[in-house]
Amino acid sequence: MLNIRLQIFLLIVCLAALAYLISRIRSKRLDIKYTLPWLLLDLLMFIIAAFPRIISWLSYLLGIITPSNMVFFAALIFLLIIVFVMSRTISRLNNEVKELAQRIALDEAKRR
Amino acid sequence: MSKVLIIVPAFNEEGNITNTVSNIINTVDEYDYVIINDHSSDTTLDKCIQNGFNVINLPVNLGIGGAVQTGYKYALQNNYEYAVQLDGDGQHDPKYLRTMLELMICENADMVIGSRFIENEGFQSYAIRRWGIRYFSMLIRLLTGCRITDPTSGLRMVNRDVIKLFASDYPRDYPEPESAVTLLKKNKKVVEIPVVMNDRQGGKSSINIKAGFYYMIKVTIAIIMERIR
Repeated sequence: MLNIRLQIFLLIVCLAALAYLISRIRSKRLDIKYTLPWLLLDLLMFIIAAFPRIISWLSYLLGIITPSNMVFFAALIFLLIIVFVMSRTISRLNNEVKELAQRIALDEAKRR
Repeated sequence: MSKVLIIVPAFNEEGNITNTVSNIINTVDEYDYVIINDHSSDTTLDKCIQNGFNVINLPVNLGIGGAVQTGYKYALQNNYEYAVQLDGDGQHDPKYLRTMLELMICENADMVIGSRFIENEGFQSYAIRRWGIRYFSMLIRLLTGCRITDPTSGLRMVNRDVIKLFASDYPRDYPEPESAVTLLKKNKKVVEIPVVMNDRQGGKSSINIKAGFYYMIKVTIAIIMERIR
């Protein structure tokens, strides 16, 4: 079982993160599209903190001795996925910026 | 209009660009040229405009690969049959261009590279870079079986087929060795011609020590990826 203090701490962090995410979306500084993984992560953490039995069962299943390590491990995996998706997005954006810059430069040269 | 386009990538070359381009105009006035100003932060663009040079001005800095690719796109749009890359820093002598074109036509080659290391004359770069170049040369030989003595040379001429290819797909940074492998893998004919290069006349190289490590690793991975693609 998760330590009760860790459980409370996790619940508070999740709620605070959720509040922050919602305020960002409301002020339109974050696209919902890019907030979805974070919302999902937040939700998962919340469920885990509220029902620690799930995590005990999962950690038993994976052979992880301390349930709290299971929480960190799961969060890490999730973060790695998010970061990887970011890398992919950056690559794509980079390429789009390059194509646009070249198009602008070539069009400008054509007009002269 | 000429059938050959000289692509001159320039990033912060205010000290060299006027000489380089005048030299091109004096030496091979039957070829067209275009300068790609890669969003220089110095007066390169002003120098080009003052002198009435044909210049394309990139609105953001794309790095050597993105700049040169702009040149290939320009060559494609304007229906040039051949395009040759010649650096804006005065390293490359335009007197070789005619010989390169002759070789290109008589060998029916897809790419002609000007190599410093066939006759080993003139500026040979620095020991550490020569080692790097030898390493790429070995790697390319290992992976493709073809011998390219100067895979990092920026003096390279290509035909219409390759212009099309490069216009749609060209590596962003340190493009030379990688793009040579791309061509070899597509069974294109790449030949080399001995040239003498000068040390750069001013300005700074795009590759310093720190970037050198990144260069080696990035290009190694790129070449291997190109092989297994």
